[in-house]
Amino acid sequence: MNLNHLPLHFFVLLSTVLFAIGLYGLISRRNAIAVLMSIEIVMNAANLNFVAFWRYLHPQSLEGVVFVLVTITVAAAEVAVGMAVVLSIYRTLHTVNVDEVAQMRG
Amino acid sequence: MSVLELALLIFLTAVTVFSALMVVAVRNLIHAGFWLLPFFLGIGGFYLILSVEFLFALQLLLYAGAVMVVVLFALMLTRDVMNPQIRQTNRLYVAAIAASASMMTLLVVLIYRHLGALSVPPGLVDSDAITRRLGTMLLNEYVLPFELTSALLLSAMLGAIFLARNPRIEMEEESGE
Repeated sequence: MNLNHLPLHFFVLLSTVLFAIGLYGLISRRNAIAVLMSIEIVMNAANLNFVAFWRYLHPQSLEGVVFVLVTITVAAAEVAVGMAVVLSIYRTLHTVNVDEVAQMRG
Repeated sequence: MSVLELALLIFLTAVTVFSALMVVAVRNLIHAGFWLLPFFLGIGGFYLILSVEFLFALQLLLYAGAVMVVVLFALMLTRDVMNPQIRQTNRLYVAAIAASASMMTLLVVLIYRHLGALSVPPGLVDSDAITRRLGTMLLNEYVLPFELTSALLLSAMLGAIFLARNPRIEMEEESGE
């Protein structure tokens, strides 16, 4: 696709919208797994921004893509540990609602 | 931009934004988990538009593959995720709408005030060489973050196994012997 008629602020606005949607889910969801899903939306919005700014402003160096690679890896690790924590909480407290989980020792 | 390209762009944007909305809005959490799939694919489509095919492949493998599976497994192992009678939002949802809407308004106003700095033409990239150069960069300038990533993944894997094991079952097995 020819990018010459597609301005950079299209991508910036799109990731702003996605970030706001993810932020809404992050605050309003009760289920801890749904909160983690909202974090995935926020991280994907940030990744899109990284790639768009790299593509338009610094296409000669590949720093933006390297950043996204590291972010995707960290997100995968975060999901694995996050889901293990959620399952552990579910086993001890029999709920995964973040507003009912109020104690730190099981 | 031709009509076909414009239609494709509008379709991709609509799919991405709508599925993100569905992920945060639907009550059935299994459905919310499945709505993540078109969202990840849409983001991958934007990576294709920005001519980084390698990131598109990674997005498919890691997000649409691995993360989706882990999320759906975790959802199926907990209860009350498919009952549409149960409210899935907490008391703060009005505040959440206000917070995210005001943040979005602030950012959009900021973007429009700096539209001049943002209206730059896209740089020329050789999309065939990106993946090759990425590999060279990861093993030269960025070899330390690259290796640290492997340490992070290993410790995350060990931590996940440690957290997810069931101590009660292990105790029963030991006492049964």
